[in-house]
Amino acid sequence: MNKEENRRFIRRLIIGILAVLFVLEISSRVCLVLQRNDDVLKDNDSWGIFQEAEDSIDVIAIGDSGVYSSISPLDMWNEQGITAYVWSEPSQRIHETYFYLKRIYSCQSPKVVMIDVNQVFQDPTDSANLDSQVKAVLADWFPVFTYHKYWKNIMKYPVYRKVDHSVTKGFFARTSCDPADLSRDYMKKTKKRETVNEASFQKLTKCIDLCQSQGSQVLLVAVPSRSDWDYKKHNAIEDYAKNGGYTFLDLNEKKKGLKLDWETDTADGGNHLNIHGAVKVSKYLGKYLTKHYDLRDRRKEMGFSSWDEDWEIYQAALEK
Amino acid sequence: MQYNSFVYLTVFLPIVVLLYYVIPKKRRWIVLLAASLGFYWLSGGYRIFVIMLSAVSCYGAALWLEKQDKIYAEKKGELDKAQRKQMKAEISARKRRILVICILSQVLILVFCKYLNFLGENLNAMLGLAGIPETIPAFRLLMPLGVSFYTLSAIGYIADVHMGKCSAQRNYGRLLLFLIFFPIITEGPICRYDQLGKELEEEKTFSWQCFSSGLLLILWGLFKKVVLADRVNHMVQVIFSQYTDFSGWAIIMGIMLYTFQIYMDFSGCIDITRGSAALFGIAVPDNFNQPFFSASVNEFWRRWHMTLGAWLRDYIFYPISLSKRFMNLSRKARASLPSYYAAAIPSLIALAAVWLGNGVWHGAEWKYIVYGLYYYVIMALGMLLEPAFQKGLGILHINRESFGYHLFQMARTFVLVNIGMTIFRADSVKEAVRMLSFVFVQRDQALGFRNYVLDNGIGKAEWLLLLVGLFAVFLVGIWKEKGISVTEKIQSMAFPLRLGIYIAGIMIVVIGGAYGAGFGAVDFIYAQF
Amino acid sequence: MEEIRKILESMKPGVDFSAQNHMIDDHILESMDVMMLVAELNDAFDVEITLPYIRPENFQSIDTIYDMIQRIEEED
Repeated sequence: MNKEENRRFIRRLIIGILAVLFVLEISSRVCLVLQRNDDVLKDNDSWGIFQEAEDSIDVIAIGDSGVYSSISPLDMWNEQGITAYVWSEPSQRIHETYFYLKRIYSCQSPKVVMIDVNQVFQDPTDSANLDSQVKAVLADWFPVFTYHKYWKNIMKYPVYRKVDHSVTKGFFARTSCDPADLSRDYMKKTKKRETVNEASFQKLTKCIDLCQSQGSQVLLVAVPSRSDWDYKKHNAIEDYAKNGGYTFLDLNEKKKGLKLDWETDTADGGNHLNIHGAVKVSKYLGKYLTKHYDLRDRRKEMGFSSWDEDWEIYQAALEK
Repeated sequence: MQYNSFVYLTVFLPIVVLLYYVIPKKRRWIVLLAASLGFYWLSGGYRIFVIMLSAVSCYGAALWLEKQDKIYAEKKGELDKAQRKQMKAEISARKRRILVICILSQVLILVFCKYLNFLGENLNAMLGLAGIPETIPAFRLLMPLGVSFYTLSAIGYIADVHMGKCSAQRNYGRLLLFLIFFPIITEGPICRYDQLGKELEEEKTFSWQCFSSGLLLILWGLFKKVVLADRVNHMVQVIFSQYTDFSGWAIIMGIMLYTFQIYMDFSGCIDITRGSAALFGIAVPDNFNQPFFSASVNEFWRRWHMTLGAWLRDYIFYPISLSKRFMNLSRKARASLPSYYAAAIPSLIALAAVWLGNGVWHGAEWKYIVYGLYYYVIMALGMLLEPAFQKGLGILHINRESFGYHLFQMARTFVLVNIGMTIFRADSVKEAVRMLSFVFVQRDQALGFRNYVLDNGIGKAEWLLLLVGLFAVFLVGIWKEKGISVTEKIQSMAFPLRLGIYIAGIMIVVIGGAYGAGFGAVDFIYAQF
Repeated sequence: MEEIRKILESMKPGVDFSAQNHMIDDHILESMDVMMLVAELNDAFDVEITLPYIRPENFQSIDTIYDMIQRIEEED
C-alpha cells in the first residue's frame, strides 16, 4: 500500500467504527422505548426511575426477575408511605447491577438499597463471570445488548408513547396462578454450602461499598423462589454476610408475619410469585423496613400526590 | 470461552489481532501460541497440561520416525539389494511399533477422558447380570476442551510423518500451536499438518482482502448460530423431551427444526472459526459444502462434516483396505464373485470400521454407535441393491439424469438424514424409535403444529425472521454451488454500500440474536464431542 | 498406459478416461474405486502401492497413475 491508500484506509476504518457506534447508540434508545409495556401491570420499566422526581426514592430493590415479581413498591407506599423503586431485569447479573446502581445514584439518593443475592449464583465459572463482566460494560455503553429482544414490539410502538412512567415503580404483577409441587422441602436444612465464584462475590462487595459510600444502608435479600433458592445458597450468603458485617434477610425462611401459600401465591409452579405472593412479601418488607431503618412516611409530605394517583391506576388495573 | 461470547468477540479476538500485527512477522506465531494457551487455560484450566504432555509424545515420536528414514537413506548406498531389503524391513517394523505405541497412547488419553464412563456402565451392567453388585465407581472426568478433535489431528500428524507425507516439526511450540490453535480447538475442523501446519509457519502480511473476508465470515457464522440456531433451541428441547404430547406433524416439525439447528450451529461455528483464522491471514479448510443439496446419503457425508469423513477415509478406510490381508481377501473375491460384488464386498467390510468409528467418535453412548451403523446400513443396501435399482429404473423408464429425479433423490436423502438426526438427538435409541413411531399415532388432545409450534413456540415476528434467514442461507448456498462468492461480491462494491452491509450484519446479530435473558446460553452442539 | 486405461474402463464402463485430468476432484473415482484400482494395479504391474502413495494428486489422470507406478518401480 502506498501512502495515499494508507490514508484512505485509515479514514474509512474510522468512518466505519464511528458508524457502528452511532447505530448502536440509536438502536439502544429505540430498544429502551420498545421494552415498555402498554399494560400497566406488566410495565416493569427499570429506566422509569429517571422519570421520578430527583431524590424522591428512599428504597431501591435491585436484582433479577425474582425481585420485580416479589416486591411491589406501591403496596409499601399504601401501607407505610415508603417510596421504593424496583430495578430488575430478567437474569440480571451482579456485574450489571453495579453499573445500574451507578446510574441510579446519578439522580436518586436512597436510604436503603436491597440487593437480591440470587445474582451471585448465576455465573459459577471464571469464564462465565468474565463474559458477564464484558457484557455489563458493553450494555452500560449500549443498552441494546440487554434490551435487544424487544425489537419484536416495533409494530406496537404507537401504544407505548402513551405511557410516560412506570406506574408500578418497576413491579411486574403476575395475575395467573400455577400451584407449586409441595412434596419437596426446598429449604431443608443442611450444613452444605453452595460454592460461589470469587469474582461474583467481589462484585457484590463492590456494589455494597458503592452504596455505603453514597450514604445508603444495604440489606441483602433473597426473594422467595422454590426453584432458584435452597438452604445451600442460604448458608453461603449467611457466611458472606457474617464475614462482612452485612444484614441478610432470607424471605424463603419461615417468618412471623409472612405466610406464603405456594398453592396460591406463585404464577409458575414455584419459580416466581404472583400478585398475591408479592402483596404478602411487600407488606412484610414494609413493616421490616420501617422497624429497622429510619424511613419517613412520605404520604404526609408535599409533592408525592402522584404516588396516590399511581396507586389508584394500579388498583383499577388489578380489578380488571 | 465460546466463539459467540462477548469476551471472545469484543476483547480476546481484537487484542490478539492487534498484537499479531504489531509484532514483527517472524514472531507472530508466538502471539498465536500464547493466545491459544490462554484460550485453553480460560476454558479448561489445568487440563491444558494433559494436552501439552500428549503433544510432547507426538513431537518426540515424529522426530524419531523421521530419523529412522534418514538412517536408511544414509546407509542405503553401501548395501547390496538383499541387505537393503532386510534393513528396510527392520526399520519399517521398528517404525511401525513406535507408530502404534504413539497412536495407542493418544487413543488411551481420549478413552480415559471420554469413554471411561461408558465402559464402566456397561461393565457394571454385565457384572450385574452375573449377580455381582456394582463394583466400578462411576465418575465423570471433565473432558479436556476439544479433545476429540485434537486427538484426530494428532493421530493424523503422526501417521503423515510415518508415511512421509510431511516432515516432522522440529519446534515443539509450533507443533503445539498446530494442535491447539484457538479458532479450531472447540469444534474443529480436523486439520492436516501439511495444510494448517504449513499455513501457520508462513509469515503473513496484513491484507485487507483476507481480513475483511474474515470479518464477513464471522458475521455470517454469528447470524447462523445466534440468530437462527439458538432461536429454535427451546422449541426443539420441548418437542424432543415431551414428544408424547405432540401430534405427528408437530413431531416432524420438531425433528426438522433440530436438523436445521444442528446445521446452523455447527456450520456457523465453523464459519466463525474460519473467519477468526482469516483475520490472521490463515486459511482453515471448510467443513460443509451445502450438504442438503445431496442426492444420496453417500454424497451427504462428503458435504457434511467433511474433515471427519476425509480423516476416516485416509486413516481408517485406506489403511485397512490396503493392508496385505485385505488385499488377499479382495483378490479371492474377484476370483469367485461377479465383478460388481467383487468390488463392493471388500469395501463394505472396510466401511464397517469407518462407520463404527464415526459413531463412536461422537460419544460414549449406544445411540451414537447405532447412528453410525444406521448410515452404514443405508449405504451398504444402496451398494448391494444398485444393480437391481438400475434394472427397475430401466423397466419404469425413469431418466436418472432428469431434474425431477434429482429432486426426488434430494428429498429422499433429506428424510433419511432427518431420521439419523432423530437418533442423534434423542435420549436413547429406544426413545428415537418411539418418537418416530409417534409420528404415525393419532392422539386426541395432542399439542399440534398450530397451537404449539406456531403460537407458543416463538412469536410470528420470530418465525418471519427464521424464514428470511433460512432463505438467505439457501440463496448463499445456491450461489456457492454455482461458483459465485458472496464475499467477493461484497468486497467489490463501493465503500458506502459495503459499509452498509457490515453495519446491517452487525445490527441483525446484535438485535435479532437469541441471546441474553429469556434465551439462555446454548453451547455449541459439537463442542461436547 | 494402455493397460491402466483398460483397468479403469473395466471398472467404470462408459467413461472416457483418456480425457480425464481431475478424476478425484470431479468425483469420478471415489475412495472405494481407488481401493479397487489399487488392487488391480498391484496385480497387473506386480508392484505394491503402499499408503504413502494414496494421495489425490496421484490418481487424477492416467498419466499421474502411470508416473506413480514408475516411481514405485524405481524405488525397489
